[in-house]
Amino acid sequence: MDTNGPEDLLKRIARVDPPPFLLTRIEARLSAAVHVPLGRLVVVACALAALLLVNAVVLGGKAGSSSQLDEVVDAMGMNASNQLYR
Amino acid sequence: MSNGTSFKELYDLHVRMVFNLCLNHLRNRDEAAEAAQDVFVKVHEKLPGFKGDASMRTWIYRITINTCLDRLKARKRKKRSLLGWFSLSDEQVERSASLVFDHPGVATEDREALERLFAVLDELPEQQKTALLLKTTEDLSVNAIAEVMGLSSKAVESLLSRARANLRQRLPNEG
Repeated sequence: MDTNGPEDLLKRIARVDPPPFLLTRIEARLSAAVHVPLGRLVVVACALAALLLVNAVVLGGKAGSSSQLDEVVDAMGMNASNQLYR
Repeated sequence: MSNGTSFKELYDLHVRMVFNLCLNHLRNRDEAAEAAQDVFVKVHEKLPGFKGDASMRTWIYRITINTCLDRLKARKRKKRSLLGWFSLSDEQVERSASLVFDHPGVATEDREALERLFAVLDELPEQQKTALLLKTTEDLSVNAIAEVMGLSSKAVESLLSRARANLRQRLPNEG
């Protein structure tokens, strides 16, 4: 290879035809690809977030109401025990 | 460009360029076919976002080059992880990462010299190698290469001259 040798050698590479099955394979890949629309993803994410929020509110509400009940029982001097004969 | 027919037209127009560019980067017929599939799947996916800043051909050139470089990197990573046990040098990993040379566009009498040349080309920095391949195998002008690579013409000229100097240095006994 002289100075221009490598480049001349590269220029001698012949262009070839692509394999005939290429388009069929590309079309198969394109039709196999499942595209989930972004809108649907957002709806699912919002639904999950809302479900978690409702859970948190309900659980928080329950915890709050039980402590309020204890306060009322204490304030009125009521006995919350199930022992009837003491 | 939203229906199947126009994608087919796009494919017909560019498939030869895409496949040959993949072949010249990867030097293996099967891998070039896989890479060409990747290119057209990407083109199909990105087509709605194509703004027309560059020509369609330039845009497809870019996708093709990036796809090939990604494949070469993945090939090297895979080999490196497999051969990591044997503590091979980078150069040894580079050499072993080459697949079987299977380039249908190479004449039998040029095959040995081209295999040697490509081994040296693989050691060049990515941009030098890309510029040289676009100049020689694609016969692109410096301006066209600059557009494809997103560089100035001066930068491409500099890349080409450094690539030539590197080749001269690394292939001193070829005559």
